[in-house]
Amino acid sequence: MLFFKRQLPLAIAFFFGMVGFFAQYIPHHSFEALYNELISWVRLLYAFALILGTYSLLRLHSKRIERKAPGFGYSLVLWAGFIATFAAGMYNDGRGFLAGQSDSGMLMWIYDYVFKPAGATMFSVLAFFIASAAYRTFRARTTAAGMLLASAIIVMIGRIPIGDMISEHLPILASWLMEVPNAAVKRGIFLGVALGVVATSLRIIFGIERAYLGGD
Amino acid sequence: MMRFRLKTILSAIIAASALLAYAENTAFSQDGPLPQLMPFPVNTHIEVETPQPVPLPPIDRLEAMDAPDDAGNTVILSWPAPRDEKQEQKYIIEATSDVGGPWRQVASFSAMTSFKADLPRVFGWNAPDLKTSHAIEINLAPPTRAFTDKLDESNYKKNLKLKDTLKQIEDSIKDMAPAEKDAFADQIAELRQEILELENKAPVTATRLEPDHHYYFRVIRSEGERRSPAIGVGVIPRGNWFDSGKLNNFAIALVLAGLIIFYVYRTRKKPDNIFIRRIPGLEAVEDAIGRATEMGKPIFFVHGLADMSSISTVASVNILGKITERVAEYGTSFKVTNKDPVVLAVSQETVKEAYLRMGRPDLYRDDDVFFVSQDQFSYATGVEGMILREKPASIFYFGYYFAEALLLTETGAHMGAIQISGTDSYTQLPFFITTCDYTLMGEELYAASAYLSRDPKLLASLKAQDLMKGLIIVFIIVGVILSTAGVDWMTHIMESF
Repeated sequence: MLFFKRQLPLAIAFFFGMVGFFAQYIPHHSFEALYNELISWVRLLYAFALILGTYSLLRLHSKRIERKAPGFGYSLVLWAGFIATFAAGMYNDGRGFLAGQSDSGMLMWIYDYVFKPAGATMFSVLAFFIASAAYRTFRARTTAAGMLLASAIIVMIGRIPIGDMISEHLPILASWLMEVPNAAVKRGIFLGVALGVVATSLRIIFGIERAYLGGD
Repeated sequence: MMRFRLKTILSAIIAASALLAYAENTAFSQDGPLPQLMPFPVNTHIEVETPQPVPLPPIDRLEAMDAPDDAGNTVILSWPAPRDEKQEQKYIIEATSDVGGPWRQVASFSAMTSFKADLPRVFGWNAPDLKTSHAIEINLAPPTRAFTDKLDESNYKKNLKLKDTLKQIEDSIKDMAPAEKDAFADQIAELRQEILELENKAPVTATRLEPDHHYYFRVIRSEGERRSPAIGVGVIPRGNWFDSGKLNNFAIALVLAGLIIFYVYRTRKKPDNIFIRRIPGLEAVEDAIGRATEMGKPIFFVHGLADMSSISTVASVNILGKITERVAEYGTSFKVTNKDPVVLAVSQETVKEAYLRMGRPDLYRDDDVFFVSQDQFSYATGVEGMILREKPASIFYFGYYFAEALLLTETGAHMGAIQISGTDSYTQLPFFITTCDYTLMGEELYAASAYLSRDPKLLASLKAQDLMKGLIIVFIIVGVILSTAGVDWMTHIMESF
């Protein structure tokens, strides 16, 4: 039993990890074909996992409705939305679910007039969230916060036409802040991230890191 | 046992490298060194048509070579720039898989551009003709399967339209006389070819280069209406078993792998008390869990948007296991939100195992680790709603985030939750720092699992990682000094071999 829970997953991780590793260095078309084949397996895996995800979501909300948990009305909305979208998808504008996806009909209507505007609304809310987060951050209570505030003001004003009207040096200073101190920090973070990614990958390939299997 | 495994792994890597080197040498020795010219005579003049008015002089000494370090879909053409070359002139490159044609244009570029100097990996940095000889890489790789699917998706409508048009033409000429039908033959052939290409079923032609097939290229010089006679050359593109341009990268990966194996091996033999600097964000995990327990409110663990193939997601799953162990000690309500169904399955298993390890399998409920949505803003909305309704005392955000980061953390901040985040998403770091109590930046996310578990093997790998970072910093400093002094060999090593 331990073989299936530990040794086999570790062996699989080692094999596929090494294939992925060597795929970076072997450009040959036959190895490329093998790698692409393996990548296509991932997509198959995802198709099955999506069923699992949908089941998890629907079961969770079914239980909330059953228990009449606080806010169970939202769960009803989710179920109604799911049934309507699923039915529209199956109907497929009269073409049936075996045909290719139609680019018109109820499903596209739901996508264009419900899903997309809802997503856009959430995205636009971000502007207000930025304002409130910025207010909290820019309260210059420490030297670092003060420097952040000053830099932010220079960059913001330096990147709009009024900045150039105030002083011709402002856009240059704003660009310098972005291209020198900001880029230096960004590269420092990237360097650490890149090494961290490689080291974590190697830890997984060599079986040193096993927490993703549920730990030791 | 561990020693045996390490030795086995090392031997496997060495053997694999040796095999690769052998395969590479064999591949080269079969075909001889570059360039690989084919029987199709070099510098053969092929008259295309009588240029009008006065033809330009043809190019001279055209050479074709199989591109090194590729899958076998690339060739390189080069020729000395003619003395009478002018900026308004251009070069047209045509290709075919059959010496008799049909020829198809595969590339073109303006005169006075595209020189050997643009391909230093092929022609080096010091050859005398780097800036006086033209060189162009013709890469006609067939689309990969993933790309083909995308191509089919985006060109689905176009394909349908082409088929409709083809059907209409075929229907309309059905009753015509053969001579009249001939007038449509070219149009029909073109439509059929286009449909086949869209469906990625086109026969092997020069529209894409298949490895180990003969291809012929010709170069035509043009200036307005004036064209030169075409000069042709043949070549066979071949795949390579090692990308020598990535030798520097490969060496760094091997050094890092060697360091990790060395330190882990040494730690197993002689466990050191490895020092790891204090990370406040991870120190605060205990406080965050304790706070939620005291307040009797749930703890949320919010995964990022990346799937399981992202290392940041793997790192966050590792952290999830460690946090769950602490949560199990207190028996606090713990919820894990997922955007990806595979991450969901892995997280469910991780949480279940962690509860089991701590002797509290009774605390695990499948519904506590759940899927929210695969869409970015639907996920954000769903999680925000839960934060507003359930008012968690502590929220952990680990993984890779996009624009939803601020929506989530700002909502958590408004609800007064203690928030700890960790991400390698550079663009979202400012938002996390702004709204969370503690933020793990970049590599700290990857170190978190080792930090929380204190496993000597994991800590040893961190030591190797830090040593590698030190080496890279030394390289950067030496490289900057040398480059400033006008010595470029180190820059070339870092760029490519």
